[in-house]
Amino acid sequence: MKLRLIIAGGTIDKQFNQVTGDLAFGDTHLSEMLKQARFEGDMTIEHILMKDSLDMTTEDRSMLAEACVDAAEGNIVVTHGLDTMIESAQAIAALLKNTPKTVVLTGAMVPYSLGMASDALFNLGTSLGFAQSLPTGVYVAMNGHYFASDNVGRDTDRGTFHELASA
Amino acid sequence: MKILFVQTGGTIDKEYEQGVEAYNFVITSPSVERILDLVKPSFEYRIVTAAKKDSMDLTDEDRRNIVMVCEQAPENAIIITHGTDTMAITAKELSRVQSKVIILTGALRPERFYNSDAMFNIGTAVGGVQTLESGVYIAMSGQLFAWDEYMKHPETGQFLHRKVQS
Repeated sequence: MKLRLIIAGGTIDKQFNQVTGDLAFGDTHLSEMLKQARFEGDMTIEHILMKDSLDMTTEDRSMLAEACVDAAEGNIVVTHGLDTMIESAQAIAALLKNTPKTVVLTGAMVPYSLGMASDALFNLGTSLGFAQSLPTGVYVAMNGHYFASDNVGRDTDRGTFHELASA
Repeated sequence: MKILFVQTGGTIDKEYEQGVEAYNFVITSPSVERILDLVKPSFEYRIVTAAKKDSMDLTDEDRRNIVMVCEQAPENAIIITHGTDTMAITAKELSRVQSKVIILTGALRPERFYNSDAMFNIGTAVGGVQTLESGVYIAMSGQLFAWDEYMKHPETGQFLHRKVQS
């Protein structure tokens, strides 16, 4: 199965800045992550953004949605910040309309670069599993669970996602 | 959804034996426990141990026991952690289990080690087990294989779709 990975930034890709003591962006860690995962599938990587998702503009989101529409592959994973992941998922779904693609957005609570305390590799793994097996649609995948883009909310205190009906 | 995780051994759960003159690998507690503690999944789960062996040492009886554990489990979504060398043999035995999604996975480096693929592979299996149709699959290298379409290349160790190769 041909896959596409679209990189849009988010905590998953942040790293510790030793001078300022902040978490900031440098190069993407996705290639390193796929190497650690011993990934052997057929996947094209497209790096379109490197932002905290709170800093994403309407144009950024349009660009992300267009990248999903333009992708030659029907099965797509997007790495993204958690704070506006739902907005982006809905923007992608709106532009994709009935195009038969499966798009799964994921990210991490703790950056991959922080090592064994990070949930990044697990989330990348689950998203690739979901992207290869879910029917057409746009989804958010975190904590081992997937949510359809039109039925997902986020508990901002705990940072977790939930279905709207159970909110 | 409730997922059953079955430990059978393999590299994923190996670590160096502790103690004086220890030089062997031993298989200890299921790494799935530690991985799930960290990621705090939103699904329910249960972890059982069916064997603690390098998969080259699994006997016919061990495999019958693994099949029985899956058949008798109330869960219909099952992830088996297993050594990669004989994963396909166990998968074939499991193919007679009806109406369940069973995914075998493992790792090329122990979960206890730096640079391990364990957490990623458990992730791929967790994704597949919730969405695939009943049947037996192998999740390795970010790919999901139907059990009868899978092979580990004898020389390179790559995980390949058998039908694609022939």
